[in-house]
Amino acid sequence: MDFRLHSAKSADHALEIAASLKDGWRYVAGGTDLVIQLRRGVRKSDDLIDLSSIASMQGIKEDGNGFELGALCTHKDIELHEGLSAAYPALRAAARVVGGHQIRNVGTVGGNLANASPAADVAVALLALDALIGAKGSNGSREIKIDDLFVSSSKTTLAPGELIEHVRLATPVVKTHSAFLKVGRRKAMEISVVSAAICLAFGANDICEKARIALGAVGPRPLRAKAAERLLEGAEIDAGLIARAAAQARAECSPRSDPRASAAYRSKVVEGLVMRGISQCVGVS
Amino acid sequence: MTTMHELNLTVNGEEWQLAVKGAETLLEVLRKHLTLTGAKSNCLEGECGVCAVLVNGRVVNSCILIAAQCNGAQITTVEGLASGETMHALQTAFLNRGAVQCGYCIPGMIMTAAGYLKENPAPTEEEIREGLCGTLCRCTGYTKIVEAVQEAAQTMGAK
Amino acid sequence: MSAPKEFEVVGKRLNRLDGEGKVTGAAVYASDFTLPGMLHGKILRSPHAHARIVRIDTSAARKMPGVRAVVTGASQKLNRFGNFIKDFEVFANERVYHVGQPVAGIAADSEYAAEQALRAIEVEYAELPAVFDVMEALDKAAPLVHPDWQSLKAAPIIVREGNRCSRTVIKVGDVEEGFRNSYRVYEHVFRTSPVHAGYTEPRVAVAQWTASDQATVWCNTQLLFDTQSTLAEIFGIPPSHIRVIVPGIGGGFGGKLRLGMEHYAMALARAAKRPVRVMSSSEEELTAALFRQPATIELKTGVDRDGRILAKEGRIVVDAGACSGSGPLVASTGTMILAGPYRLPNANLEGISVYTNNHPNGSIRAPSGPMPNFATESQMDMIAEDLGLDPLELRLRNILREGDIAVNGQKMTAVGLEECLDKAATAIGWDLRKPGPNRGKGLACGWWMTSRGSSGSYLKLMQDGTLTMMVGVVEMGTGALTGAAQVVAEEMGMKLTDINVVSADSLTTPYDFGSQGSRTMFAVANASREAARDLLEKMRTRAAKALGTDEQALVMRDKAFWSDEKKITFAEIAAQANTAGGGLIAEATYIAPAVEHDASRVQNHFSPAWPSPSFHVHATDLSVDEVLGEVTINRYVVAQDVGYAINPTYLEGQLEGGAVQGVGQALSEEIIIANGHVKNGNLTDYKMPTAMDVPKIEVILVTHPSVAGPYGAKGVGEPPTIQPPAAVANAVAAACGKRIMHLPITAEKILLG
Repeated sequence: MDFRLHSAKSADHALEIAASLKDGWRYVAGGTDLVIQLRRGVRKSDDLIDLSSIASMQGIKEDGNGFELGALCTHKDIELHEGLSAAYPALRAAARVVGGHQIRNVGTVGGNLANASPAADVAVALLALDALIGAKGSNGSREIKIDDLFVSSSKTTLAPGELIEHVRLATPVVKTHSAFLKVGRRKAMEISVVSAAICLAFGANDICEKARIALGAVGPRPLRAKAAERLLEGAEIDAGLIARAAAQARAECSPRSDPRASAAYRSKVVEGLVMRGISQCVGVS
Repeated sequence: MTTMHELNLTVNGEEWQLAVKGAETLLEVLRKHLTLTGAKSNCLEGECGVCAVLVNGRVVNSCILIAAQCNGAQITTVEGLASGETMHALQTAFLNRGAVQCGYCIPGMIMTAAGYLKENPAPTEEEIREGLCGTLCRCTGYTKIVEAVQEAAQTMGAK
Repeated sequence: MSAPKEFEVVGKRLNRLDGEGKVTGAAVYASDFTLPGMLHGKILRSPHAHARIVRIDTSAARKMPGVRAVVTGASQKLNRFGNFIKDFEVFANERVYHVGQPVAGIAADSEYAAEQALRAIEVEYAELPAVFDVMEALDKAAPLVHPDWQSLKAAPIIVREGNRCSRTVIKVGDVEEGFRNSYRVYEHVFRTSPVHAGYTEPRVAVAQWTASDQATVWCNTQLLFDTQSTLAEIFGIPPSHIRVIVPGIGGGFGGKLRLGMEHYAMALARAAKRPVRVMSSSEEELTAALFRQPATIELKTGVDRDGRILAKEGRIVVDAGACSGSGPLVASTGTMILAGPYRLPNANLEGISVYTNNHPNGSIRAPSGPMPNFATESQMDMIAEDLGLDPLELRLRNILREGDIAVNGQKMTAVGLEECLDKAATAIGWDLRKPGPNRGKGLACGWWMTSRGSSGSYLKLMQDGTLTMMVGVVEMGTGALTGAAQVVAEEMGMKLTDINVVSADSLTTPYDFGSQGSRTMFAVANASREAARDLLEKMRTRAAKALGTDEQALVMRDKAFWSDEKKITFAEIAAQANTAGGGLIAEATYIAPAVEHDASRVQNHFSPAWPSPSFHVHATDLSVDEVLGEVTINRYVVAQDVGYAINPTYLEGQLEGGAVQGVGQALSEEIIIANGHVKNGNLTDYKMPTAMDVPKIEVILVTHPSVAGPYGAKGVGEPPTIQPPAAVANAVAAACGKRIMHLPITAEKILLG
């Protein structure tokens, strides 16, 4: 592992540095994914632009409209933020099962998104929460719907040089419930074999008004089971519907076999996770 | 690629001014520049925790942390945990509860526990197990380690 | 042995002697050790499972920045080695026969420079047909892993034929007759996967040549003297010219019995004329260390209507990999585990090890234990279920008890098995075997031995009245040397902290068979105790002379000899001896007495009799998630007949840690290999248990003292890894009805199997 490290003082400074470098550079924040990739040689970079000391990208802000998570906020910051945890238990649940405390203290939400692993836990949770990704590039700032961010494993729609500045989450409507579940071979220190994040908003008479089902490690990117969501929306959710939605979610996946699990297992447990996740949300509603 | 970075660190209360390469990790700086070998080297991928130290009070895996990102930070390693001649409550409890076998993970385990207890000073057994999950021990099966952390938490809480 | 009930030092929960340095970070491990001018070595490894080396060109690598030496098979004449068959090469010569086989080494100014230079070595290979499956490898038509197998030197006990590199048989009575008389006969096949020892300190060595034919190696081996003699063999120099020192070792578990990085460091240091350090990377550990052999176990068991075993036929086929390693030993000892601690009137048990083009394997903690125990103890539960018997009851009807004759013809004494079964079953609440939906309990029992092999001990009375004990073993972390020191302190009337332990230097400490085989504390304590008695006699003689009384009149108290009101302290005796009598030293050696067995029952067996056998039962209560297949262990109980607990704290530590290591093999750990290539060569995907994967391990110490053991102690270190796979498999079957016959018992197998 060898590279030059360029310390950015601000987002604009980072963009400036990026513009001055030849191809092959990367942004780095916590580095918990990138350093490993560089050391294994699966990725090679001569130059890293260090975002970690950019003050404007730290911390979690809360206002009347919702939450703004600086891209540099860590998994631990998410876990310990009471307002965010109360609003979106799924996000806290996802942040709490990423690596051990050592990783959660360093790994950032921006890095988790930009790394674009199909198994990224926080990314899957944010996908279910309709997060907006604030990005800044040479053409200025824009907000990207999270569902439009991911392309495939380690590929996003961010333009070359564009960086993630923040993640925005709207304040949940009154009866919103969310859950995050994952399976792995161990009870900790697991890259998800399958993960599922569910977020359901209920209107009067317990009718589900909005449903989001986001799934990890069952396709080339964190994906939404949109047909399953449509089954739930506008309906009163009962056991039969939960089973149908879970089966539909399974049908929307295209899992692969790898040393962690077979496609058949992933396919089977994704249905179980979705069923459980919806039941959890309905149970508290 | 020999661009050097100025790195100012406070390690176990001592101030250091160093020049490091961009790709050097905090573990390399501690072990090679400072010859503090308490933090151990194993997987170098953040999976085992034997290299755990505190950076500004939070536990991190020093093997995957780029050192230059720590400029200005306060670092505590296992060597800096005791106050003078008096061992830290975690060190005493690990020793007295028989929680140490080969000892290779122990510096990392103790620092992991130290970081976790700052966050949760009175944990249950289950919470301790979650708090330590990022650091692997092959010798002990964790039973006596969990007991030691429980005992240390009580000692620390009583003070 | 009727030892008095209460002692001053032994039997006490005293803190380990090396503990403070380990909790403060002061302890120096082999991986912390450096020398001035030291270079860093890296190894180039074969990407092919079987290939002829057409050409190696290192000229570009030699010109890379910081490179000081390059070594290949052709550049240094190094002899073949291997514990049972000389089938290992340091660097490949004409052929590579497994992926990861070392082909060249580079020493450079930094690890990074060495790594970069490895890429500049050009190797041209011509691929050859390879074989990866043991059953295919046994086929006459299979490619030979070692076409020259007949010319490879081997231990006389080894019976070889082509790819089969060993065969051991135990035969008792007439199994065919036994099957004919059986009420039911059960046939099953079980399989296990390779696992890594999981030590947290990678294998590392620093080598320095101090003369053209003399070298010192600082490393983290478990076996000083085996390492010394193997290195001597490789480099063609006398063993006494090689000094092996272990500054400290971060775990071993058998994974550091055989050469790790020592030979590469020595070869590179010789070429570079500078000290060289070679440390295994995490990836190398998980793709190129010596794993626990995968095994296939075929079992056929006949029982009568009451479940009494009438005949047992079994075979364990061990995949040795491309070099025999510990394969022959594992297959051989495996036959005793196939038998299990049961009365077997008729048995035909076979253990064979087989060459394949998979990675060579080693001796992981209880090397032949978990695989056949998983098979035997799973089958016991399957038999019980079929007969409608309680699995505990089935075992109680078949287990060995005091005075019984075991399968090898050995008369069993100090058998604590029934007590272990009773206590483990009571502790786990066996009466309620299925406490709720998807929840169940399982148990498994087993036996193991306390390996023999010599230990020596030098003792020296120090000027301050303390005692220095010098022994040739490595303190791996088990607390063995604290235990041995407790025995010495007890003998000498000293405190534990009065014993200074010096160990792990092949030049200065006496020969020892090493830290292996559950025998370290057992043998070292016995040797040291004998030496202590001798030293005490010498001290008594001096004391009597100094005090002008008879030796018989002396009373030893508070580190002094007393005659009425007059006394002479140990410190005074030492000072006197040092100035006038050349100092006070003593030495002793020990080897456990041979145990009788019936030689007519065994063929080519490495360990046909079991010295100071130990007995153990594990019981667990677990839940299976019916939707995900995930297993959660609610409770885990270990009951082990340890003979006597010299230090209950560290003894419990052995059982707790061993059980969790076994749970790893049961549920989550496996080296996944396809066509000779490891698919999960990192700690992200090689899954050892975390603190969240296991509950508190509940330990029950059962004590049926061994006649040979110090204070009745038996070997304890290996046994706890043996039973977890079977105990977990049986509990999973009780919980959800799924019988998994292939380790590990993953959620996927439970859900889809």
